[in-house]
Amino acid sequence: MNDGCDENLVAASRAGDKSAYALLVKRHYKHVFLVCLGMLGNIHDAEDIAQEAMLKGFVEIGKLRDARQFGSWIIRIAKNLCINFIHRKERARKVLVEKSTRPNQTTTQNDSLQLAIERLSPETRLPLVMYYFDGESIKTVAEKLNISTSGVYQKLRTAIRELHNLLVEQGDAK
Amino acid sequence: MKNPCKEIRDKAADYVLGILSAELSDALTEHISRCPECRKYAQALQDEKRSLVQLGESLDRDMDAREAKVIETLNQSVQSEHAKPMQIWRIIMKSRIAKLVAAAVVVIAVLIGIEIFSGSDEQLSGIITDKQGTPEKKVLVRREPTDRGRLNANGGLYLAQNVDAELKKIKQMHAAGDIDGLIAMLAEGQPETKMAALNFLAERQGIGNVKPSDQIKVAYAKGDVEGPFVAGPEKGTNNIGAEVPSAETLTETDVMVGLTVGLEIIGQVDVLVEANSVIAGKYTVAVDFEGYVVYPADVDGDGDLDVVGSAKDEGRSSTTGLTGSVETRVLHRGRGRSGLRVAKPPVEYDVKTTSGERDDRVEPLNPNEDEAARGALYWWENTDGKGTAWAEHVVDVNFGGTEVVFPSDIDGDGDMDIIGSDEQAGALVWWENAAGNGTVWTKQLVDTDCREQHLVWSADIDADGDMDVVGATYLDGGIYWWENTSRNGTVWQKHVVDSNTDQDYCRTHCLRVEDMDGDGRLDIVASAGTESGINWWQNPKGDANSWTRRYVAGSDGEVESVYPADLDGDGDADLVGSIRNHDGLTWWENTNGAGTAWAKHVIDSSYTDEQVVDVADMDNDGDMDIAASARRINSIIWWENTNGKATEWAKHVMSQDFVEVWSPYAVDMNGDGNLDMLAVARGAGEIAWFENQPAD
Repeated sequence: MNDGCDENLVAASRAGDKSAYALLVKRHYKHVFLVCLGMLGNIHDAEDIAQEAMLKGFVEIGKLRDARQFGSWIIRIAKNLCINFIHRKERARKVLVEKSTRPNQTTTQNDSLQLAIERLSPETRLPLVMYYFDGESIKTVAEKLNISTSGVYQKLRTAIRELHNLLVEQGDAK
Repeated sequence: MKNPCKEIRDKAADYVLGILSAELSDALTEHISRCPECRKYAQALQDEKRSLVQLGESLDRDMDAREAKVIETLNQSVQSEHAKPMQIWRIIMKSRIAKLVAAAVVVIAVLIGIEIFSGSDEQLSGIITDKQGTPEKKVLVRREPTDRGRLNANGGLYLAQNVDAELKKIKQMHAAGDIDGLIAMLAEGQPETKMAALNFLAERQGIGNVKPSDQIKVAYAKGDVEGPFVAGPEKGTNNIGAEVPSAETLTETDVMVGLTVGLEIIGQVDVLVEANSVIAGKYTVAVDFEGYVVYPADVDGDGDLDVVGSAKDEGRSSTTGLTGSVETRVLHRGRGRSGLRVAKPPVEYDVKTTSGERDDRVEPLNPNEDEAARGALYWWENTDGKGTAWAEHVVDVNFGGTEVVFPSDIDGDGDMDIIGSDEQAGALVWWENAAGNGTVWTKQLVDTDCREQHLVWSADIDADGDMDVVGATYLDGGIYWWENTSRNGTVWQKHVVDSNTDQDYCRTHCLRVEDMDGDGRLDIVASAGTESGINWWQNPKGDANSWTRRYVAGSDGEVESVYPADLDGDGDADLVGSIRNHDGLTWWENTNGAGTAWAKHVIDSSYTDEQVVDVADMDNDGDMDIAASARRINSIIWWENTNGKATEWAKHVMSQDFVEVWSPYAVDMNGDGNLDMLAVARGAGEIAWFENQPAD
C-alpha cells in the first residue's frame, strides 16, 4: 500500500471528494471489517459496524491530523464503534450467552464454525481472525495488537483449543 | 512423562500452527501413529484449521460486494464534516442580513491579516526555522566495552571482545549439537563463556551427566564470576572448595540446578547521544493525589483511555461521582474454606453528583465502619476522549488501602475491573465494574491471607481463557498466583510460585508477566532490592503448576523496575531496568532466546536515579524505545533506539519539572496515533500526561 497515495486521497476527501474516499474504502475496508469481526465475532454485526466506521471516517476526516495514519485511524474508529456496540447490547457476555443458547439451527460446516468463532473469547478471536482471515504474519499481528510475537502464538494456541472445544460442545466435531 | 496423551494434546495446537520443533513433531507423529484418541484429536485440529482457511477465503470472495455497499451508501447520503462549511455558506447566502454580517466579518479579517503580515516577518521566520530545523544531536559519550581489569582463568586479560568471540563460537557449537565442544568450553575461555556453555549443555537433556555442582551455581549467582572456574589447591577442586565438574561426575540433579542460573556479560556500554524532544503540551488529569502509581485503562468502555490510581494513606474520604453502593463479599476457596459469606454489611455512601469537586466532609454513612481505613481508589474519566478534560470518580474509600492496583477484566464480561490489596486487612480484593461504565463497583475478596502483599498483576497465567492474578510480597519476596477457578472471579485458588524460604530474594520492587523463553507460555519476571537483582520464573508447562526460578543478573544497586521487551528486534524478550546508584539505565540481552543466557548492556550510566521504566515505540519507527521517570531530578526521559538493534541510543528529555515523578506510561492518551507519556508527580500530587509529537 502506498502511504503517499493515502495522503492525496485523504486531502481530496477532506474537500468532500467521495470518489477519492471510495478508493480509501477499497484499500482499507477489508482490514476494518476483519477487525470488527475479530472483536464482535458475528459477520453481520461486523458488516454493519465496518460500514458505520467507514462512513464515520468520511464525516470526520477533517479531524485526522496526519493523513499517512489513515489506516490506523480508521481502525481505531472501528474499534471504538465495536466497543460501543458491545455496550449497547449491555454486556458482551449477554451477547454470547444469547447466541450460544440459540436453538441449534446450524446446517453447514461454515455456519457451525462461524458460531464457534463468535463464542470464542475476544482476546483470542481477534488474533485468530487477523492471522487466518487477513493473512497477517505473526509479527504484524503482534505489532498491531501491541503484544509480543510469543503472546500472539499463545493466543492462537488458546484459540485453536477453544475452537475445538466449542465445536465439540456444539456437536460439530469429534 | 506422566501423561503422554495430555502432553501430546498440549503440543497438537503448536503442530497445527507450525511452531513445533522437528524433534517434538517427530515425537507427536510417533505417538499418534499408535494412539487412536490422540490421532483423532490431532486430525480434528488439522481439519478445523482447513475449515478456518476456507472460511477466510469465503469471506474474501464477498469482500468486493461489501465494499460496494459501503461506497453506495457513501454516495447516497454522507457528507464530510470538512465539506459542511460550504453548506453553511449556502445557508448564509440565502439571507440578506446574514450576507451583510458575513461581508463585514470578511473585511475585518482581511484588515487584521494585513497588520499581522506587515509587522511580524522576523518572528514568523524564526518560528519556521525552528520547526523545520533538524534536531541537533550531540555526542555525549561513546565508550568501548569496559575492561574491568580482571584476569581470566588462564591469566589473560579479560576482554569483552573475547567473550563475544567465544560466545559466537559456543552458539555455533550449540546449533551444531557439538556436545564435546561445549564440554571442552567448560574448562577454557572466559568465565561468562563457561557459564553459557554450561547452560547450553543443560538445555540438551540428552547429554545425561554433564552438569555443574550446586556450589558453583550458588557462587556464580552471588556474583563470584571467577571463583568457580579457578583451580583450587587440591586436584579436582576449584578455589571455592567445590568439586570441579566433569562429564563423568556430574549428575541429573545438577542439570536442574544449572537451569536456574543465567549468564551476564559485564560492562558493555552502548552509544548514547543527546537529542531534542518535541512536547506539544502537558495536560493535568488530577491534583491532590497522594498515591504514586496509576494505570491507563478504558474504565467506562467508551473507547478512550481513562486513568486508575490508588492512594494508601489518603487520610480523607470522597464520594464524588459515586452512585450506588459498595458491598464486600467473601468468595474464597482454598486453605480449607469454600463458599460464600458476607464479611461486612454493605456500606452505603452518600451519593453526590459528578461535579468534579471533592467533598472532604462526606464520610461513609455506616457508623460501624473502621475509621482507620484510609485507602482511596479513584478513576479519572477522559471526558472529551482527547485527554484535555477529566472528571474524578471514586471506586472505594472504605478499605485499608494500597499503592498498587491493576485494571483487568477479572470476570470476563468485557469491561475493566480493578485488582488490588487491602494492605491493612492483609487481603487481596477486586472491584467489579458492575455497570460496565465505572459508576457502580462491587468489592469482592480473593484471599484473606496476603500479609505484605505489595505488587499485583493480572494475566491468564494458566492459559485457560480467564484472567488470574499474580502477586508478590515485599519483605519476604514470596511470589504467588491466584487461579480464577470459576472464570468470573468468584472462586479462587491460591498457588505458590516461590515461597522464598531461604530469604534470598526480597524487597521486591517490580513484578511483570511475559513469555521470557519464547515457548508461548507466560512466565513471571521480578526485580528485587537485593543482590539477587533480577530473576524470572519459568512456567514450563504453561499450566502454572510448576515453576523454575532463573537468575538473570545481580547488581550492586537496587533494580527499581524491570520491563521485558524485544529491544534488539531479534524476536525474543530482553529486559530493561535501571540500577539505582550504580550502572544506571541498562538492558539485558536474551542471547539464546531461552532466557538462560544474558548479556548486559549499559545504555546511560548517568541515569542512576530512582526510576521506573516503560518500553514502547515512541517514534513510530518500528523498534522499541525506552521511557522512564527519574524521581530525584524530576524528569521524564525517553531513549530512542536509533539503529533498532538497541546498541545506539538518543536521549530525549520530555520534562524536568515534574516533581518526584513516578509511574510513567507510554500510551496514546488523545487517540492521535502517537504515544504520549502519562505519569505522577508524587511531590506535587499531580497526575498529568505529556503529548508527544514524534519528528517527521
